[in-house]
Amino acid sequence: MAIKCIARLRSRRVVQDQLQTPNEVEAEGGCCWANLPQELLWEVLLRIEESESIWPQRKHVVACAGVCRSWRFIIQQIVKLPQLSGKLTFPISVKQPGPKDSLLQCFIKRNRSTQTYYLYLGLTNSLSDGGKFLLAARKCRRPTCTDYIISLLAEDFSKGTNTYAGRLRSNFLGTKFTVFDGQSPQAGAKMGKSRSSRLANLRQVSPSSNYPMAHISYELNMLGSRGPRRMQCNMNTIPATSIAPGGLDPTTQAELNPYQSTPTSFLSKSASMENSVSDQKNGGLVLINKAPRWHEQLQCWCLNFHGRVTIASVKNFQLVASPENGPAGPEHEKIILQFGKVGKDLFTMDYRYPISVFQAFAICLSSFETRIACE
Amino acid sequence: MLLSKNSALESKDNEIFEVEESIAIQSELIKTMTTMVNSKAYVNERNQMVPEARCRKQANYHVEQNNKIVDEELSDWESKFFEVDMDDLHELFMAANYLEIESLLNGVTKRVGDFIKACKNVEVIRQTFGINNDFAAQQEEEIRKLNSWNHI
Repeated sequence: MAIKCIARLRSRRVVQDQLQTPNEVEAEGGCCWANLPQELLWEVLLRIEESESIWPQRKHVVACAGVCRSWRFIIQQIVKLPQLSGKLTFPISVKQPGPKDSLLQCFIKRNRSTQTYYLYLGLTNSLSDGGKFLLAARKCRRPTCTDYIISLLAEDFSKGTNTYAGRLRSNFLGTKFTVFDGQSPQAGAKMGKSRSSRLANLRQVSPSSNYPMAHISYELNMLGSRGPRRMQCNMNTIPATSIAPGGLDPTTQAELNPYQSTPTSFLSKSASMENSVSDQKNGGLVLINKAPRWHEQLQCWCLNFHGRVTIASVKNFQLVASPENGPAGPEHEKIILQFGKVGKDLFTMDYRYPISVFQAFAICLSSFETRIACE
Repeated sequence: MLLSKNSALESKDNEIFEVEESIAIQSELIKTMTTMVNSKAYVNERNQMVPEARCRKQANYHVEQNNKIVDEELSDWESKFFEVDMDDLHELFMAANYLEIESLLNGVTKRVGDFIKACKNVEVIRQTFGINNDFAAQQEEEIRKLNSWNHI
């Protein structure tokens, strides 16, 4: 019996020897690493992804995805969406919903002379440490409106490239804004429903085919310009149910092509900016700013920013989900976006699921631009 | 006290190693093979090995040292052990995979990762590992442009 076992093992080994001979020949030719078995390559790349979890080291994960097709495929399988991992990895991460479990801390630096805003991912608790650059926005004033061009590059705002992320357009009065996505969700859906397509490149789209993904409006409250302004953001591409446990995921919705004009679409059919009520009826998420409380002793309006905002400003806000014609539940208490001043040209921006960092940045830019309740 | 049993292992190039049993079975492959025969028969068991003699020896040394020295010395020893060139590292990788030695596999995997991280950019990774760029031209251009975001 023992002899038979050995014989069987030996025969298996002989077969393996024969299979491995061609590899050995190739190895002598210097292609050994290119022929590394997939499972071994997987282990190597998995280890890199796990160990390089924060920036700037995370760049190694992105670099591995640029080596060749097989490396790219493996990296795309390994890297989890930001909403699950809390990590931003590829450029496309800026268009994906933020983490479900916590706020992701970012900060914005303003350059007044160039009218440019730079968004960074915070890497430490100290704002004086450099962050990971995410997006930049440059203001372009036009005769009837103002545009903020948003780009993945710090100094390149050209619109015909795959680094153009989108723009924020303000109406003449600065009371209503539209956020346009520079990438077509239809192009994303056509690439397929697989995870790898979600992580694929931002495709080049002509500027004329920007896609309205959100509408923002500012109003005075009852106290007029003496009180905090009211904000409302209608997120066309995010289902309202996404904030509820077991609700629809905005990423899945994007793959199902929300720009079809079906009765079940939660995208408003009209391109005008006056759609707040119909957007809500169509099922898109509506965000409103949390009302500050009047502090009698300090004689000012107060919000609890948990230490992330230190200078009073009418621009500071916290956004929560608006309850849709019903009682407010615990999911309407969660802060989804928080923005505020901490220095002369320095602001913190914290956001979470279901909005993306691109959407959060655009909403914050509108807060810079609007003139409502500024005395 | 029982004397530790030795296994005799033969490599493909017909070199024979005497290895302590407790070390030999660090290789899952050898462990599986030896448990398939009765206890008397596996002493002086001969197995055909594919990897080269030198890396088999190295594998043994690694395992042996693992059993003997404390953590600090071990990590120093390990860094020296893995200071090999790309070809030797590849051989170690194949040997560790074939023999299924987990600790050695972990060490090699980490070392390969270190090599990748030491590369300044994608092109250097390709050169170091002899990998061809098989992206289509347009895709390559898109990746390259987006990768500039990587380094800001």
